[in-house]
Amino acid sequence: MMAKKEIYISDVIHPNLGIKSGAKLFFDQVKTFPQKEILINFKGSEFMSRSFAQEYVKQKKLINKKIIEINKPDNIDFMIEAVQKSPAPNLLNIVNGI
Amino acid sequence: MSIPSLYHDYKKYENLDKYSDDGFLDLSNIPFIGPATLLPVYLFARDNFIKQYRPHSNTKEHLDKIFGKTRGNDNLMPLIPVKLDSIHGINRAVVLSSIATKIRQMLFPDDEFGYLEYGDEGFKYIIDEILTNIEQHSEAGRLFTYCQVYPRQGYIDVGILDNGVTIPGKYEGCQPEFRDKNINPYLFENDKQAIFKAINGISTKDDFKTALNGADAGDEIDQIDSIGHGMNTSVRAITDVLNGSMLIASRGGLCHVTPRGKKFIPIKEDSIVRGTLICIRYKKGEFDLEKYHDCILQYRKIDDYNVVI
Repeated sequence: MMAKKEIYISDVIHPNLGIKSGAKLFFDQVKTFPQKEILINFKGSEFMSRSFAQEYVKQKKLINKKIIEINKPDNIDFMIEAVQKSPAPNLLNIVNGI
Repeated sequence: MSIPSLYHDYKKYENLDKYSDDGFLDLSNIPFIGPATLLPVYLFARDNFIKQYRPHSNTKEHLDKIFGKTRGNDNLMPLIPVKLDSIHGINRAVVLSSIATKIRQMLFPDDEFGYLEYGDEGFKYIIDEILTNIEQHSEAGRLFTYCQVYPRQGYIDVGILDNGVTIPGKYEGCQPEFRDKNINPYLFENDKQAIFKAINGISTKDDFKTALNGADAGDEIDQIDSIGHGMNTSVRAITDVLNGSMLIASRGGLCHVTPRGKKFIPIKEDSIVRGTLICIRYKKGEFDLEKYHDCILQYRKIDDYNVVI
């Protein structure tokens, strides 16, 4: 068995990684691979929305595999960083309209 | 020629004589028609089985193009109806992503290198957030889009309409879960207030509810993705970064945001939108990437000045 599986995310989903559920469905597919190391190749990917990035980061944390990302465009890298580093707003203030 | 506001366009739908006896929808007094007028008219006609319309002489050819009866042009993306209820799983994400791409390619045909200077990055962000919200929250069976470029004025109009449960309807569905809690974020006084809450981060996501339950129990909130960032940052991106405007009409409430301010307005009883309509209008111009990044990084409350609740 190959130790590493390479997958082109834009081929599985779309070059525009926009719709949140796409990230979950992508990782559902990744889970089915027997390999423990997954190489996610972003070649051909143009854009990632915030919602997609949120789900991508969440699913990446949950999966029990080593994820290696290559060819990540700067704008996609920024969006993933953005959702990871955005300061947590005060939920109660939001709910109370403050 | 100056372009009127999105709200002005929407009012044409509201002022329409919707119940004529001859089975025609009379559009003959509307000499200019854009997505903010046409999409709610279309949904109304569809829901009421009205199949014929009487156009203004200025719009006859244009409407034929929009409805695909005649060949369109590069400045128009005809009205596309999407049967969301017959697409499932990964195909749904692919179809919605394709719609976003189709809209973008029409509006930014030369985006291979110079796209950032025309705001493509910010535009994509907003469109994808709108489509994701429809996919995740609307429970819509149908989605309709129609886009228009006005090359002489340099404006872009994008309209996206779904026939889902609406923003106020979605909140109503969530209210019972928080009935016995100290805080019920889904209560609202009227439909326009529900939209105001939606653009200020009150999400119906499970993560948001979980975080709120934790807050109710006194927990520290550390989920970074639990807040409805998408709507909040999209509204701010369109007004603060792209210098454009957005109209959100959902059931009996309407919100019109522009760089100059925000208005929350009730919709006339006979013009209730049985779904959610989102229209964007902006002029292609310089795009400040740093400002865009700053905008999407942080939730910020959208001021409630000028709010008439």
